[in-house]
Amino acid sequence: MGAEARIKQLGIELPSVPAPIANYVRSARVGNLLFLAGHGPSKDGKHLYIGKVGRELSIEEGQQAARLVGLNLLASTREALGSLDRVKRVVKVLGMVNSADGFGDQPKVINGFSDLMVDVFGEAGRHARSAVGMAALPLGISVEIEMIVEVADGATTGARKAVAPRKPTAARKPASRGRPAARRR
Amino acid sequence: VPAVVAGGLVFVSGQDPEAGGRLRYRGRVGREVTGRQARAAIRLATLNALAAARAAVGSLTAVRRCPVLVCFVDGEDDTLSRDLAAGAVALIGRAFGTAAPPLLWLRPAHGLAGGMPVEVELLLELAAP
Repeated sequence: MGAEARIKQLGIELPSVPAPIANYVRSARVGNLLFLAGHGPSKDGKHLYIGKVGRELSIEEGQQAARLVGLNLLASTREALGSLDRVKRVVKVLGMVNSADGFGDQPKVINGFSDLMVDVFGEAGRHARSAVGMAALPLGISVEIEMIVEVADGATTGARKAVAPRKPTAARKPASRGRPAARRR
Repeated sequence: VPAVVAGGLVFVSGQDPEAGGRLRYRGRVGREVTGRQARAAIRLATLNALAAARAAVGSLTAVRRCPVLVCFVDGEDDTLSRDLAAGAVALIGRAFGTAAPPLLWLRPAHGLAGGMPVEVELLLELAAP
């Protein structure tokens, strides 16, 4: 079963893609790797789960925050690739937990995210990871997560390669030569 | 999982200063953990990261170089943190040569899993097959 079917089966509805909070993009692709920006626990433009885990928030709330971050990352991944079925595997994750003094359960908190990835992608959802404590995170959010996924050389790419390059037709040539100024603006 | 191979790269998870399944150092650098202990801790974590990479790819001879080394240090003494990270860079140099040293990310942490003082993550580039 593909990731999109599994999401449907689990009754998960992905949030709308989160707007970047500063001058950056949600994701960037290099070769078959898709690098996703640090995402936070936001929903419909509102930042939720504000505060430090171990002080304002419990471990369980931290896990819920991490899961919500995961949903946002999935939304951004789907936006970048068109479908989550194009994800070959989740490769590497950096989970940052806004931590109270002496808090040492960051791995448990980030499991809220990692469990979601395994639910959605199965074995391909298992990843390399660092889960660390931070003294502060932007806007006071409790969890921020960065992710790298590997993209499958899917049937789409293969099909595109198989299509013969289009020959310029006699009709198109004069049209493109005739109005360069208008195109360039 | 300890490491994932993708796109000719090995992504190694953050590794602990542990041996025999037990954390050897606990506490913040410069407080419960002395500089001397912290140096030993980051060395142990770096060796564990190399071991995780080796387990993933079979042999470290398959690795061309280490482009990125990430050191998380839970401590307030920046000079000491840089010194610790330099130790990790030196160890990576001994493993893969010093011709192309890694980009070092020294990241101050505020709390690491189980109260450990340091954590080390590696990105490795595989030699062309």
